[in-house]
Amino acid sequence: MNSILIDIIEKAMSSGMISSVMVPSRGPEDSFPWTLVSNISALQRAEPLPPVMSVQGAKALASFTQSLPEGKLLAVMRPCEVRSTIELSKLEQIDLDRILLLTMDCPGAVPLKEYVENGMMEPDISSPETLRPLCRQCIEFTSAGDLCLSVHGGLHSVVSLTARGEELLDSLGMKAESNTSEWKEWANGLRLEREKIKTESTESLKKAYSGLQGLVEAFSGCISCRSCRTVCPICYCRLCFIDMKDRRSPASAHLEHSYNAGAARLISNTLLFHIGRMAHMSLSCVSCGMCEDACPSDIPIGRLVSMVSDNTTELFDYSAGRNPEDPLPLNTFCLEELHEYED
Amino acid sequence: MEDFEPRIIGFLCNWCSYAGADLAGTSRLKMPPNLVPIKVMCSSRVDPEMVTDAFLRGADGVLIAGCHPGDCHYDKGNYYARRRFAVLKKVVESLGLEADRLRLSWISASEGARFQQVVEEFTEKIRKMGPNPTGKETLL
Repeated sequence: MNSILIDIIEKAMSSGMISSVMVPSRGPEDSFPWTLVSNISALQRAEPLPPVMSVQGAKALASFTQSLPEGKLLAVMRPCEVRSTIELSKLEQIDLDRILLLTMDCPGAVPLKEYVENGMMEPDISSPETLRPLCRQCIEFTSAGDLCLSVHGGLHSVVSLTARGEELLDSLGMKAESNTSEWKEWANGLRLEREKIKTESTESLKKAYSGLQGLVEAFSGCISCRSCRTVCPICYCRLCFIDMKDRRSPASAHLEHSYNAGAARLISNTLLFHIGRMAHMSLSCVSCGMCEDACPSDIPIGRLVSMVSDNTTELFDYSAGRNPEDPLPLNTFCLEELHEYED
Repeated sequence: MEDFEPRIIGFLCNWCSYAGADLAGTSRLKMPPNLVPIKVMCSSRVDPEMVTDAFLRGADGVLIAGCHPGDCHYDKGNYYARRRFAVLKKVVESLGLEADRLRLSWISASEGARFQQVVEEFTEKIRKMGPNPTGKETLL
């Protein structure tokens, strides 16, 4: 798939339609940092679909595209990265005006820790055990952004998903694939399998970590490194509520809790951090799994947030990253709604 | 359990519910002393994190009260507050925590009696639920 993607990128760059491309490139020691490529010769090192997700693409994109001064940028990313890019554009962290998003049938990624320990390994879409836990249960593994490269269901070509995508294909003299029925059948089949995995995983998660005791157990190993927040594309705040100095508990609060409960955890507010974060970002969570990949304590944080996010988005029939036109649920309201929550 | 007195945190909006509470007081309406009021300028000022913090620090109940829909001093703050509250409740529910300890009520400045009724009802409900187990949890 990499070579087809590079072929498309090359065509787009040499046609002048695209002035630069954001794509992972091969670095030393089998690493794959994101790069902004402006010269076709530098595409030699491009690896559009590396086996691991080291930095979330949307985060890389947001690091420099609050506004692009000139030219058009093609960002080559996985579907979950495209969806968080769309969320970040709603959060005014990315300006999509000059950006085209190219995605592909995503094979998933291998867990970062295993990759670091064992060296080069490839994700295998047909054997879930090679994938990260959230990739195993991912049902949004294709069709996001402006263009999608498909290699399944007998297809080997690009499907345009928006007018802008179509325009780019036209200008490259490429035809968008029109017969997509086999590909859709493949996607539906995989989606069904994944949904089953997801239901099972959610059930066992609930069984293990539901209620106060369950949550205490889940997060007792949390080392408060905040890596989950650091790697999360949606957590863009410069100052997180948990780090605000004026809301740090005074010694008296720790002591009072200690008197009441017999003892009190230090560094405290572990649950507050995780629940507060879920309340803040779960509506925009795309279940990319970065948080879980980054957690040094193997807390199933990604699956937990994803489970919560399924329930919160359902309130507003919202799907993170689905449609750039859908407003963020917390930025809008209906006069008559949610009566069961008020009195 | 017999001598359990609930501690309830109430985030009251400055323009309606706090004035409603005031009216209940000046009208000398009798009500349980279990609610600790915190004045906020608008119900939409209440970040879910503030409610979660109170909840995890052992508050037995958390009430958010604001102007009735359509009457917000800032026009539409309470509509946003309602959405945020629903999201927080869903989060708490999804994690298997006691979402019934959280309540959102609309109380206007002229509804002293309604304030009294909400406090009475909520206090009774929380009394039945018993103390919030977060108060006795060491590893928060």
